[in-house]
Amino acid sequence: MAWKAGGQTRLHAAGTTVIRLIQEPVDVCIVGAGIAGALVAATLVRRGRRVVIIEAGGRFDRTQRFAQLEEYLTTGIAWPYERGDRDRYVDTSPDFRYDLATTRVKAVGGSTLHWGGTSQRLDPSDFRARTTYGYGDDWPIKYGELEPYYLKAEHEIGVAGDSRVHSENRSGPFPMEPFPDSFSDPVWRRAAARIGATVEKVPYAKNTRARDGRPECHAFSTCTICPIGAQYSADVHIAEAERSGLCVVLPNTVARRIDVDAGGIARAVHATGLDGSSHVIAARHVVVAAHAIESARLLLLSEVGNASDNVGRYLMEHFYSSGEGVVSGGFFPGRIGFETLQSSSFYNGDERRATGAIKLELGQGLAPLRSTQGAALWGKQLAEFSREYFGRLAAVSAETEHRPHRESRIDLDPDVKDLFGDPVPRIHFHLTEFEHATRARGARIVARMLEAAGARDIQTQSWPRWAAHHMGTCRMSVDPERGVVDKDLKVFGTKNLHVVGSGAFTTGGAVQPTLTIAALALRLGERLAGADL
Amino acid sequence: MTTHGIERLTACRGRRRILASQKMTSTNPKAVTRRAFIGLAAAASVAAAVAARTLLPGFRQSLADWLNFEDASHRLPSQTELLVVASFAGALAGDRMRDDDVNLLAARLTRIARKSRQQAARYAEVSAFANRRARALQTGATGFLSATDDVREAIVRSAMSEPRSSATARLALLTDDGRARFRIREGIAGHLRELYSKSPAPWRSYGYTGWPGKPADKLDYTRPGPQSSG
Repeated sequence: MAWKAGGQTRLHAAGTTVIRLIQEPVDVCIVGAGIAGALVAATLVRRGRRVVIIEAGGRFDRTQRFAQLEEYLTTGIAWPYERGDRDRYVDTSPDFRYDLATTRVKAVGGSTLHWGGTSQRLDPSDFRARTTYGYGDDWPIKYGELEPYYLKAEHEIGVAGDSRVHSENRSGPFPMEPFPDSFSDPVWRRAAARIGATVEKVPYAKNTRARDGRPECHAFSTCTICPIGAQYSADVHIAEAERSGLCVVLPNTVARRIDVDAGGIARAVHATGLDGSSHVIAARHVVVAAHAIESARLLLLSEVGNASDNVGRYLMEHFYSSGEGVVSGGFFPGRIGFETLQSSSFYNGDERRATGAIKLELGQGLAPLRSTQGAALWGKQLAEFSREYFGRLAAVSAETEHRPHRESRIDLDPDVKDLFGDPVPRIHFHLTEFEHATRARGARIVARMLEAAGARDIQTQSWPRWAAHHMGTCRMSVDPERGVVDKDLKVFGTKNLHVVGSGAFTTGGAVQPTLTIAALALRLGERLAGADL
Repeated sequence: MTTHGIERLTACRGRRRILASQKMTSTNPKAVTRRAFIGLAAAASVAAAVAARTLLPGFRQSLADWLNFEDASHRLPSQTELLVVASFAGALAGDRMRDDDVNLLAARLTRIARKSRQQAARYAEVSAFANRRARALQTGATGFLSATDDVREAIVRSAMSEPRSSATARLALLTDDGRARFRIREGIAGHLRELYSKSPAPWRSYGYTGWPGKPADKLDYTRPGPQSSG
């Protein structure tokens, strides 16, 4: 380990195992190099704090993204981030199989290496779900307390959006103008007007102009791996932190235990590298930013913060209801690779008491050729079908809320172990009539929107399709009996151990969680940077 | 020769074989003695038992096993074999691709075959099947690459046609050809169609030029698609 800022490192050879022991505590040890860990680290080093980041995954060279893109998108060779020997988990969800291995990315940069880029704030009502709608719990902070950090987050990661949308909830404009309407967007605008709904620009962490050393979007339409870095990924802030000389990243290293003494002080993080090296990192503060699943798992393995049996509970996702239909004229969806319009008209209102929040995404995930992929036709019949339907498939998705339940959770599997002999996470998603009713309502709205767009042969999906948004498991609360961390993200019963990320969400609303993760991380980073270390 | 012509011919050939078979095994009960009949029945029972012992393991083998076979040698298919598979992928979508498109797709197949023993084995099987069928259906054809569009279409149809019943499907698995059809239909056709759809060929047919088929001009998406007259 090459500590650049005066820390001490001792190397011991013990057989083939190398033990790296940092004796002098660093300021902050962060577990996880995704967007939460990256923004905490960047905020800390800007204030001169020394940071070590432990990351279970490896590095993906930005200069290799074109090659990575081609390999993944054109050959279908396995998901580039998956490590079958390491990403073990057990799924006991009764209604469907949940593929955890491909709904998260273990890597320097985390899941932002492979995401859609949607960067939307939670609605103020999401912070007051119990008070406003009678379900879930209220967050221990209000929207207004997080709003300045939302704005900072939009500027840090570079969000392009329409500042007129929900302007009453904003204290400043987006740093970049939104993407223009796609060819199909006017159809959606007319359709929405027909059913009394409004549409708005989707805010994206994609550059609509060159910014922060990254180019503007060139519409490769392959956003899950942006080949040119026009879409934000958290390795941007990891690189910034490393350039400062105050941050050391340990990739391919798995945090396995956190030592917390009887006084509630986290003393050190124990980690093991894939090369067999052992690490003991003493730190004045420990931040667990390892994703909703692994953050909870690490607390469970460390037997920390679970006095009231809340660690791992209240696991949430977003489930989609979606539908497709054929429109008569050329629609040519998906030509930029992502939808540019959405509707929040069904998010709030009286119906939310019974069915939760719903956000419509108009034209989501479509490519012109997709219309042929589900057809059981081959040869010339398929060619004729493709010619007839090319560019005429319209799709709408409803992102729906998953209410927090204690029974929806992760715990430690007693039988299955990881490479190091530690129990793997066991996932158990719990859906109730509330979620089914929400998805059913979402499907009805989707069908209405498609009908209003003049689509025929409308088909809606009834099975749960998840969004790969893991939330809850270490949720914020004012009450140690009902949560894992307090309003400052500090684990109850400890003095210097924090959890940041979607794991800390009290409710998840029906919007993508990344911007809220970023806002929480910036808020925590500022507090730790200003703390008496 | 039209596609339908080939199908009729194939069907007629099959029917002739069935008729001939029926003729050979039909016997006149009056022409055999009771003793001979019992002997014949006993022999038939023994033959049935032997056949069952030989064939039942095949019947019992799960469909997943049939699908997930691997070539233990992990032989990388030859360039010619991969060109056949690439061309076959186009034929699945009714497209006779240009040579450069075939070469590009074959190069991607090569990369996949190097990483996956299972896919390598499947590609080899697709190639062998397509070549075998092409030689059977077209006089003078050396393989799939020299087959006409209609013959290619007939081969695709023969591979992708669903068996009429589960019993027919099971019986088909007893032959190399039947197993190949099953594996192509259930195991690799979707993969090949996906690869084809992510290659330039289909996009070009709709007027797109940029890889992987989306606008090269970043604002082009605000305009109608290239196939549109509007």
